[in-house]
Amino acid sequence: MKTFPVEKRKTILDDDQVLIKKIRKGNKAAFEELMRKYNRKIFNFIIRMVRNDEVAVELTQDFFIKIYTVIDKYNFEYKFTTWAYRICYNLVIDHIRKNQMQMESLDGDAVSQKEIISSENYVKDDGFRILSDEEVKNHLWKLVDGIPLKFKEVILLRYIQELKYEEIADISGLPVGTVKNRIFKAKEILKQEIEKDGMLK
Amino acid sequence: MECLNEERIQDYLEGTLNAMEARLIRDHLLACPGCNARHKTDLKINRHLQHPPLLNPPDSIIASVLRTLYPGTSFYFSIIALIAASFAFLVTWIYIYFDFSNSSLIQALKLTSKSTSGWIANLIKVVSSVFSMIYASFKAIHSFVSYLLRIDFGPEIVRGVVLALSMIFLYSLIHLFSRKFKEKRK
Repeated sequence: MKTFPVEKRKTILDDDQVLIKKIRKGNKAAFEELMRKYNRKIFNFIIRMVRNDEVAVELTQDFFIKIYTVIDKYNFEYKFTTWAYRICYNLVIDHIRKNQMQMESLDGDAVSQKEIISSENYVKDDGFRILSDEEVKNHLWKLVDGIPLKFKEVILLRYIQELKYEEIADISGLPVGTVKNRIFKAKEILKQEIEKDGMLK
Repeated sequence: MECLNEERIQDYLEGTLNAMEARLIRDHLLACPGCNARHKTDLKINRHLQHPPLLNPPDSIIASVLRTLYPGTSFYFSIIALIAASFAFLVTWIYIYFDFSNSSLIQALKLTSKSTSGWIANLIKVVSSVFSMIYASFKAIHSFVSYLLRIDFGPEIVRGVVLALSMIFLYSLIHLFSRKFKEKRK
């Protein structure tokens, strides 16, 4: 059984914890509010991990149902997000492990970024105009989709779920140093690819 | 200070360095055009990563989860509850309207429980006790209020009050039962 070493809290309840108290008493509106609060981030994390709309919808639903069924086990001494994101992370990783195609990504043989970009007819610099920041950002995030899963998961936890290194380590079960190292390496890959495409000039 | 490696620049951007280290790096970046250029590139990547393009999830997700976790009362359960409520209402109404003054129903129930055995007799005893309590309470309240206000309330008013309170009690009971039933199903 894992422990929660980060952000231990004792007395004051935050907004999420107030909602959890209400959910435990059977308040439907409180659960709906909690879902609306996290729906977008959870869905975006999942869809980028599994890269399939239908599966992402299904897993997001499974996540909320799971949260509801184990809400009585939530410990108020810890942050709700750390607990919830760990459930989400485990759900997605379990799904990917069961999926034969994604197994390759787990082993590090990810589809090359070039293939992804060309297969999706992604907008590239045609030499006649300067790409907008928005286009560069979209291109960068397309590259994130193509990097190996072990790098992608930490990037998504860091920048979509907006978690700290310690929280990512707690959720993924990796040492903080490994998390930091993977984020660094992921950025290196992204930087090399984006510079190759001449999109940061 | 030596030129910065990529890891150092990332640490600086992520804000994981202490104040002294951060200051040294800031000074170096101002003095070194090479490191400054690399820092600017990393800064740009960081900025784009910090503002990911987020998709809007379909509304069906929340609706579907709520339907799964908070289902409405089932059709069969509603029918059974309706029959039970109608029966209880009928018995209460008959008692209050026709039998309130002489409590012959209570007497009849007591006699029936004596001639019956097992759980049916116990059930009849419980029902007759409940009716006895209602009867005794309202007789007492009726006498007390009539004495206090020097007004003789007719049996219709007492019956009306008893009926209204019975219905409130019945409604609360059904509501409580349906809630427990739904929680158990979940």
